[in-house]
Amino acid sequence: MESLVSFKNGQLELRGILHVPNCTQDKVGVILLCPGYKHRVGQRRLYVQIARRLRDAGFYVLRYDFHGLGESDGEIRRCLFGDFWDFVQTGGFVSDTRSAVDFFRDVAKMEKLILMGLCGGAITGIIEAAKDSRVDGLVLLNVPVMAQHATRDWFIDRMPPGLADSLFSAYVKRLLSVQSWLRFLTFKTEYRVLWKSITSKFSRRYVRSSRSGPENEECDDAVNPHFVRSFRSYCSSKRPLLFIFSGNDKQKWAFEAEFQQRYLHPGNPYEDFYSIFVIDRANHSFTLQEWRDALLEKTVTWLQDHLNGGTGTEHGQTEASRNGEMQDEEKIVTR
Amino acid sequence: MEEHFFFENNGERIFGVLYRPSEELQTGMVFCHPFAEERQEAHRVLVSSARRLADAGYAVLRFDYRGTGDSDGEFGDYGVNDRLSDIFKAMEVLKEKTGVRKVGLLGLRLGATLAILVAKEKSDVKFLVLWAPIVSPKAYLHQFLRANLVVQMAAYKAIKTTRDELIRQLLEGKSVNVEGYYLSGKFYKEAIQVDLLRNCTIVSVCGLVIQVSGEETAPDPLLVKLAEDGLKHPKSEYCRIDEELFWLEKKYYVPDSKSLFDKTLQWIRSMG
Repeated sequence: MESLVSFKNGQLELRGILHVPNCTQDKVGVILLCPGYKHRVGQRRLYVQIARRLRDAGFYVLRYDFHGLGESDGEIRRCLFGDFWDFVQTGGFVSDTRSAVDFFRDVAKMEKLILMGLCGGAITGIIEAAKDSRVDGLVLLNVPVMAQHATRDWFIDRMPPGLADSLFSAYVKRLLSVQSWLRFLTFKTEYRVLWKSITSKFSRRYVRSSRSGPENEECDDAVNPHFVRSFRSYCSSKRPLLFIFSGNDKQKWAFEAEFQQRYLHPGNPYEDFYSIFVIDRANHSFTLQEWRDALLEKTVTWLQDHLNGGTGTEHGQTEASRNGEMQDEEKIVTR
Repeated sequence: MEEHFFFENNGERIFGVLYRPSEELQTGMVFCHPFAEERQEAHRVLVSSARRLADAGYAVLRFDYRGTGDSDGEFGDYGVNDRLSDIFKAMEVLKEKTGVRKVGLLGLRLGATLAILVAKEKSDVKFLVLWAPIVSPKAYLHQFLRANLVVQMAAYKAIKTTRDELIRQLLEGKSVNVEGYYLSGKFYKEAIQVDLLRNCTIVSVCGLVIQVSGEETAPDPLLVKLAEDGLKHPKSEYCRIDEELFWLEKKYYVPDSKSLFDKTLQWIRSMG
């Protein structure tokens, strides 16, 4: 069953859809947080699919619109996307999330509660969860870790190893393509990208970014200090966290190069509380059904393992294997 | 005042939002949203426009076709005719709930194309507001298929299935995943029959055709022709508005469009 719900954050009415399972043993609820400026439906209707699948597995799911987005009250003025990004990255929608938690706990009477979100929804979720002990678990999809909007140029300049590998393999595949050589010889190739990918691939030297600003007391790098603080605080409280990344997404490459290498070294104090799952080849919003299936299967299995929720109708059958490159990481290979 | 609710068509639930003006109701409008991810990108512009039209005294019903947004169903299960049926139903719901006597349709992109098709079938459509209509859905869908190739290149570093092969699959009635949406053979085969300037007969409804262009561009001859020859009414009008292409991924977050809205409101008012 899907019903329309609304609740207030101050004077603003926030509106959403509550997905109610047919039968369930526990009242375990998942709140889906808007991915950036995309509203409760999600990119490519991803959130509708997630909500319906989790409901079928026995979970309550709330997907709602932040203020100024979708069907909710409030206004967000026209702005550069980078400015919108800054607003999200610094917790601009955290009070809306707190209101949703209030609603889910106090009105819908959930016994356990998980925050889940893609991209901007993921960063909003971890900032809120770090401050709110009523949140029992976190599922973060392609969480962005950079303090500022990392543009295409930033990625080309920095060339994280994951991106270098991806570009390099693409160039190798095109070696026998007449069209590719024509582009190369007629100056249509992006030589800077080609050169950076080759040099980065073979040098394997990656120098993490630095950043200046008033919040440098927390971290002396380009990683979002809100993310670092929230991650530490959340994991210190020994609550479970699942990172899911798309293998072919810039957020994964930035996470590995800028955050994981620095903060998640083997033996770090938080490693018992988080796990990382990578869906090979997938893109940012998991547009292929096989990627979505892998995402949903992993999520349902993880929720059942960590929160004893749902009816257990969708036990995961993921053929996951340990990834040798990174500790605690599982990788599913899709064809 | 806004009312959020579900209504049914063929036993399936459709999400709708009704915007009621505070004044006496006379004219109402049904919004026809665009296709696939263009709906997501343009959503808040349509929400803002509906709210402002209600402030200006018009009742508005926005809704999601089945298989889209918050409505029941999967995207790939419905064809063009199903969407037309949803618009017919939305018009009925608007009339039942508000008692308005005069109903117009406002459509964006492929939603505008559907609005014209509805007006051809339903004599009670009194006017059309067409924002950046798609004149040839066939060309539009072929462009849309390119996104499938982009995903193939990114994921597999090669094109495994060419666009011609994708089209062949659609013509055989199979579905093709494009940007996370399953484009069904049913939808494709119905859509390619539509060409607003060729095989769709002239509609005798007053209409406003707006070309939305990001920069100063020349008038699109197809849209000019649509306004002049397709909508056989002396008050039909073509105009061009400088605006971000807010239905595409863009550099700016665009929650509303003042220029587009102001022109639309001015034209609706001019009809009396």
